[in-house]
Amino acid sequence: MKKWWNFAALIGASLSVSSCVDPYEPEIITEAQNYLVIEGALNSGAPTELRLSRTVGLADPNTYSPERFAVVSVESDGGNMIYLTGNANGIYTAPDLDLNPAHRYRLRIQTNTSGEYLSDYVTLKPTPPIDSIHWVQTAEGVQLYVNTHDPLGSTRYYRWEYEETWEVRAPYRAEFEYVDRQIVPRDPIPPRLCWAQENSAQVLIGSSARLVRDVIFNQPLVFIPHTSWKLSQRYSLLAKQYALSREAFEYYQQLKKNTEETGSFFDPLPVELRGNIYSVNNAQEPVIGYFDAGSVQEQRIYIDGSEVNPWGYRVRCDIVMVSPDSLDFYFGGGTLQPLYKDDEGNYYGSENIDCYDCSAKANPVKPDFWE
Amino acid sequence: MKRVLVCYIACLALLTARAQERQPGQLTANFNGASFEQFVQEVEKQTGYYIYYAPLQTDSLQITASFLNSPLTVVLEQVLQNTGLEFALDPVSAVIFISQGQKISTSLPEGFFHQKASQSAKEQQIVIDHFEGNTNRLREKEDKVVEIGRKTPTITPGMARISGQIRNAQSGELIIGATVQIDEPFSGAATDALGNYTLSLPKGRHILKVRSVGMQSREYRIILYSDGRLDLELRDQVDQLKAVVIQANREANVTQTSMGVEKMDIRAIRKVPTVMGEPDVLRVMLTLPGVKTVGEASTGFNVRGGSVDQNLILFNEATVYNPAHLFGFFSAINSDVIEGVELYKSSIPARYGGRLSSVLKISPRWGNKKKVEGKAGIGLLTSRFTIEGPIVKDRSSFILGGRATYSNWVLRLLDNAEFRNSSGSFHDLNLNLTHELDQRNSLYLTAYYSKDQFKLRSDTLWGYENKNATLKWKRIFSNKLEGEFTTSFSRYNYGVNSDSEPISAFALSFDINQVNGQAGFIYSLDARHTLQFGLSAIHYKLKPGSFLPLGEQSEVRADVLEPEQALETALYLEDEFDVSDKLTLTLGLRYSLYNYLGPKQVISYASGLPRSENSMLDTVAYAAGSFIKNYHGPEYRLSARYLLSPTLSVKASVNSLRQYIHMLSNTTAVSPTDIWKLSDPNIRPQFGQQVSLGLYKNFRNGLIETSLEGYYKKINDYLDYKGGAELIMNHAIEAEVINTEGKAYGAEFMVKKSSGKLNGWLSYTYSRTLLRMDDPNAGELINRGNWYPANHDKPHDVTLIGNYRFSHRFSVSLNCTYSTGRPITLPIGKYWYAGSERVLYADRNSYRIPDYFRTDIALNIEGNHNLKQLTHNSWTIGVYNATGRRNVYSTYFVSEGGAIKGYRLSIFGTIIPFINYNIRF
Repeated sequence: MKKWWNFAALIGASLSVSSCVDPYEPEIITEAQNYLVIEGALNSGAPTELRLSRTVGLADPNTYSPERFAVVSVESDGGNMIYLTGNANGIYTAPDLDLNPAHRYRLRIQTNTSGEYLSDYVTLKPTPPIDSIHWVQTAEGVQLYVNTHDPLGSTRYYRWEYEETWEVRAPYRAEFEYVDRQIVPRDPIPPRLCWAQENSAQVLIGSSARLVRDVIFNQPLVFIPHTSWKLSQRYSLLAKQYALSREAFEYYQQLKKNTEETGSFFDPLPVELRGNIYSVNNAQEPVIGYFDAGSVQEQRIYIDGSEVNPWGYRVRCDIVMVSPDSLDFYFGGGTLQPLYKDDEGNYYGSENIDCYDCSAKANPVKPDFWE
Repeated sequence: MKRVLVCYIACLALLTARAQERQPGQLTANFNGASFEQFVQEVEKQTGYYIYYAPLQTDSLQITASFLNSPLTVVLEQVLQNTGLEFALDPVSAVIFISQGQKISTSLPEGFFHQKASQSAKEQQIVIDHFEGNTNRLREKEDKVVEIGRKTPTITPGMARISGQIRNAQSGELIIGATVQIDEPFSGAATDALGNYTLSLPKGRHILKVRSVGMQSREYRIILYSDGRLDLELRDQVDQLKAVVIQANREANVTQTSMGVEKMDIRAIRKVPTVMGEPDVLRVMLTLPGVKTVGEASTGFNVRGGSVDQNLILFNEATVYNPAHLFGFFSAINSDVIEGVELYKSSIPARYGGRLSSVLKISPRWGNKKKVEGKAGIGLLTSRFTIEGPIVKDRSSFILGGRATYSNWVLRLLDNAEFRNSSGSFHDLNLNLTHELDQRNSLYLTAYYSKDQFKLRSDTLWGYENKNATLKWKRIFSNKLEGEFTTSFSRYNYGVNSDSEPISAFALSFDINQVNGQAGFIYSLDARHTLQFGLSAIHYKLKPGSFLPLGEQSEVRADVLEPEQALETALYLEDEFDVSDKLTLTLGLRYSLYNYLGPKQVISYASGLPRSENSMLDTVAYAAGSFIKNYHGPEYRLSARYLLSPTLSVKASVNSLRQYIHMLSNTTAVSPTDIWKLSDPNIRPQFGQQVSLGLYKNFRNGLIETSLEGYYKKINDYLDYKGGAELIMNHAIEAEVINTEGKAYGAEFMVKKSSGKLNGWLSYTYSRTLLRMDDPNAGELINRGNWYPANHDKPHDVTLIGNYRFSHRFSVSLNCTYSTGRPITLPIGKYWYAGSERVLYADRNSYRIPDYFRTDIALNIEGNHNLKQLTHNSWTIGVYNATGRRNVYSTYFVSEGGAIKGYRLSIFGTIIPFINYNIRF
């Protein structure tokens, strides 16, 4: 509803002919709030990864403040205890665990500032496998969907994450470079084949609670606009599916509404969010995140550029021909880079680094899984 | 009882004995503290007269006197002096009648027997008006004794009823809220919205006092024989007459049964300085205890912790859905066409219902029935014009009023292209007609139209409109029974058109249509009971939203929400019961029935699950006219007043109310685009209960009124919204709202001096309004299901309104208000989660914006008071927000350069001067 404010301010301004907007820094905002944030789930049959961080002040240029040196453990009501090992990014991991589904589990965290946090006990909720990931191309782009079902009808609430990987190809070999007013062969030749990666940044949840059968059909995962570079060569998506408890589902739903579905024309007011992890020392201290336990199901698909022809993205190279007597004029500035030459001694160059070096935007190391 | 005095029998006995007259006897006796019985025995023994008397009336008398051959008449005169007893001596039959108050006539008037037949025929009628066809129009006959009812030579003890109308002697306008009363025994009544009053008095002689704000008070000597009609006229208070003191409703504070009623006459409203010098009904309401608003630019007001949609705003019985212009800067009610407003905060009369918190009744003013008059006002941003006059002299009149704004010129002055290309305007029109068909039947018609339109930059157009019309027929069936039959129509609609991008150009619209019919009766059962009863029906039709492409190039997908309709009917009965002089009860019961009607497709949800897209089970289509869901229940309206002394009373009331239509708003301030929703199978009606207790004391003969009221209120099934709720164009809005319970409590203290050179009021309110989500299926509960303050929870509030009249032409008004800052939800940090940066919010409404303080001053200058001049003019000059304080209206947070920054917005960032010129002709 910001436009309303603006308009109200406008009326006010028109009445008073003076500015009415002042900076506002209530004490609580300048105060550094660093509540603990816990993200991740306990997995059975796959590695467990929990991410611990701290909230930061609104004005803080950093958005991620890892929580290091915490003692993170998962304990079962059967008395077992599993410790996770942390790294500098606040990521605490445990290898593949084989957990007893008859037990309930909870998370215990002791921070190095002697704060102690404990989650509610949660039960292991097995995740049914992904049935398929499929995609549909329209004039606007490609939409990827996930399908799944639980024949037992006991899952009902689902969450997905995905990892996108795509091949990036530079169309030209940069065989030369201009060094000390000389054209010399370039060594090494910049990589022309790379891979870029992106993870889901939205809360993706779905439910079959209103259906008779526990089926998720055509749940949208990601949309790739027609002009995106992701599908110009080859693209792969790894979908991860998690079964959620109802409470966890509600938490994610609220999180989504609070932080993703605002900023529109009619902004609703936000609400505060509470998960299932609490501070042992201070019950009033907010703790962000929801601890859930279960398993993960994954499926990877590939989409080749040839399958979505014609795709709307192409690297613009604007090749410039430079005759041998003008080399210094064109290449001396450093923006135009020589790529190749013809039989008559003319050099061809491009100003766009993406035309000859994919490592500017992506990683030249081929991922292990890439097919 | 020794001897029963039966007048009629005695009278008949007298007739037979008329021939044998005797000389009254003489008495010689010495009484020293003798009882009346001893006195009677002595008289009967010495004179042979027989004395009829009522022992109950005489048993407290002690007689100390000595007589020597004193005539019986002298003896009786002396003995009964200052006792209130009268005697009648009939020498023919040698009897003496002792009676209280009224002397008994011992002979019949001439022609008694010949008249008798015709009189008994007349007695068969319920009411006999001695003056029928020759109304008691009081003009200049104050010194005369007015006789009311069927004149009889003797007055039988008992009660009789006077009813009539009170009018302005100059304009013929009916006067609302004028009081008619007698002091001994104390009894009084006030005129209703149509200027009618009814008053029950003991038969006999009285001094009737008639008072009204701004009018000269009058006293009339009357003799009340039986039920009858008395129309009265009052003259305008002319300021030169210093001796006349306005005493309007002085006792009402203490004596009326209802609690939490705030009456404001338009003259009082005009005295309060407002933002642009334009008299504003709603702004003045905000200065009263228990009435609050979230901020300057909000359309609504909150009464005793209720939400904005819980106020029923009635303009001559038609509901006004959006009473504000320009985001609440001005009220949408033209002050020139209204008589006054009444706000019911706790004792809501049984004839009103459908909203939980309050009823704001705006009474239209009726035109001058004697001559054509006009008024015009010119201000910096708005002007208004009114013309009124008779259609048929003394019988029918019209009043036509309009207002318009020309605020755009201010926008043009601004050094900002966005503002320069914006525009805002509003106008409203009123037409009030009244026609008196005859003495018993009158017709009243009001029509109202208001429109607001804003253009933001040059591509987005916002607008909203109110349209209302009411036709009322009032019939006096008899002096005991009168009825009002009303039909009205209300429509509110808004729209947003945007064509900034031809591809995405859209037109969004919403409207509510409401048709009312009601019949209400007032029946004066006897001296102790006045009954009000009736029934009402409202048919609602809502078009909850349509989102359509605008222009040929638009590729917007048309989306129209299915209309919804409902019928709300109610029956009510209320008895105002005077138990004794001190104790009065108002016992009201209202039974309301609500039917949600087809055609409509209704979504059902899995029980035990939070209502959301994920728990939808089925969609059921209902046929047109089918009753999809019915809700009904009783509503209690009980209040009591006990007079501890003539100037001190204690009152208590218990109220319950039901509300079937809800406004859904998830923005802090009410905006014109908030939507209204009818109760349906998924959304239960709201239910509210309130108990209040108050103490009222008047000082200095009613010049200073004080009151202290406390209340506790409970609200069930109030609708709050889920976090991140989207309300506009939502096909399953029930999934976005959560049933919430609310409680509000507080104490209101007020000191008021309504007349004199210095007048005004000071009010202090302590109040809390807390909400709690108590829906087990709500999923994530706001603030973990704990109580949290509502948006309009401002615990402390002090308001001072003062007027000082330096002379007849100059007066100064001051409005000073302080309140605690309202609660807000603030972001308190940010964090990384699920692949993205996210903002962390604190508990809802756990912080407050800075406290609010504002002072406004206005100077009113009247032109000269020569009554004969052609036009009268006046100026109002003043400043709004005289201290220039930047009161925070709202705060918001935006991401700038990677950091989130906070801003606070003040609507009025500085001192705002204003000037207004008014002319009357």
